[in-house]
Amino acid sequence: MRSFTKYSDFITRNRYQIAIFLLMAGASTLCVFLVTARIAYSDTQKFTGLVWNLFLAWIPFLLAYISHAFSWKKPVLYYVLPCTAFLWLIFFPNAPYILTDLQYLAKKSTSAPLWYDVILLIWFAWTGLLLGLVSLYLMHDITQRSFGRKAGWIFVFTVSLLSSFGVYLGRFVRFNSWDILNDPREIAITILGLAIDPSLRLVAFIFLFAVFYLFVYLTLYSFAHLVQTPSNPPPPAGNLRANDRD
Amino acid sequence: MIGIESRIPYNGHSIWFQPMKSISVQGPKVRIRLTTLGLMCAATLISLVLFRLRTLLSGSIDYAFLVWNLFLAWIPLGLAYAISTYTGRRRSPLMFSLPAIMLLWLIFFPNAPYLLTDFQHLGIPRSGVPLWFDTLLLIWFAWTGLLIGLVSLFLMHGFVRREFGRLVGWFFVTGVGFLTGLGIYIGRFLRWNSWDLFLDPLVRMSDFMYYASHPSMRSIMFIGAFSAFFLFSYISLYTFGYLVQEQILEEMK
Repeated sequence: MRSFTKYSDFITRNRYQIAIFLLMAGASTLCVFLVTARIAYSDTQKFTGLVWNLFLAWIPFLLAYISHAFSWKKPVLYYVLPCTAFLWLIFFPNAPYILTDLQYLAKKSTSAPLWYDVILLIWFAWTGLLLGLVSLYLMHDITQRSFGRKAGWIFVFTVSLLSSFGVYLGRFVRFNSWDILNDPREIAITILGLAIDPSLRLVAFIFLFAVFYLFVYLTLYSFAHLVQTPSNPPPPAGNLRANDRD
Repeated sequence: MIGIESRIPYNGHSIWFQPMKSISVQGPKVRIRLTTLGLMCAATLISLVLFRLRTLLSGSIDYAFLVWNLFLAWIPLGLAYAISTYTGRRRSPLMFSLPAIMLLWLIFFPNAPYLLTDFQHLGIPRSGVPLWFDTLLLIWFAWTGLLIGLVSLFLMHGFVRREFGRLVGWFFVTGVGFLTGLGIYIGRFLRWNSWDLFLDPLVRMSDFMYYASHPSMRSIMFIGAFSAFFLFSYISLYTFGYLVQEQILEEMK
């Protein structure tokens, strides 16, 4: 009986985390189902790569969940978290990377109707984007709690810049996340080369992608402040305004 | 701008479109709503700049329809803002015309997520601009449209919930989600516009009855997959909102 109360306590405390996790799992299942239906219908293997990319997008999401769950304990915060945060940062660009897979629409294929491919890619892209945004939010929350509000926002800006650079490396230089663990020297040399002599494409892509990512994050964030939890109403207006003054 | 405003005590003169009494209660909420609106404006501006860049680079006006579609996406957002702002005063004369405005909102609503289906234009090869630029351009337009739709749905959801309760609110969202899929299908494949309903309603109604009684496999699949997508994105945003709220409360303790 006691363990039951413990579990139900755990579930009520983390109900929104669990709800988001289930939503993401459901969306991913639906994405996989859409690809399977496409394979069964057309007998071609197109878009199977998307499933792999979605799997990769799940890695930073899980890392962020684990880090966030354990970040309340001090020793973990100081010794384990830097490692998971680093791993998270390496794998993070895989989530927004799925958005660029939309360009596969440009390759003509007659095996399935175009509108089906559009819906399939939109499902994948939105799931990947959301996986990334939620995991970014969790890391943002940890940073904000440990280092303050300003540091939290600096963190978000830096990560969106770095991640769009990561997406660029993945899309155009064709690097994988684990290459940095396998062969750090080659990666360092390539990045140095790109930084010394940046192409217009690099600058434009990174800028547009980072600004887009920030826009979606900020919209979700301000949208989240519009939603009110019915069970515990937000503090009175005066309190909020007093907090903004720092 | 926002920071400065928050320092001014709300004496009834600093904010211009709210009923004066409720300012002290709604202060932060109004500010967040204005921030959301500002973000939407900024995203629209960036999308337009990207389109202009494309015309400069390629010398053609491909994708001009995106601009028109984005304009159409703004109509329901404006209506939703008007409804949720002015119904704060109970006995305002606007309450009588409300059903008409809500119907108008519903008719124009599918234009916002409709922008997502414009991705299919990537399938037509175009010269002059690299593919990645077109992809980014479409991503900007599509996501701006989707978020505009989600925000306007959220505003209407809040209004319905306030008037009729939580359960009715979620019925409303589910109904709108399904009707959106239907509306986008009608716009994408039958090529109707929102205003066709006003121009010759009788012909449209009889046409619609014909199509509804002979549904194709394509229409069922499309409406199902798209409505599910739209509802999923709305619900996940909503849940995310609860999560953020809870973290804020936890940190305040």
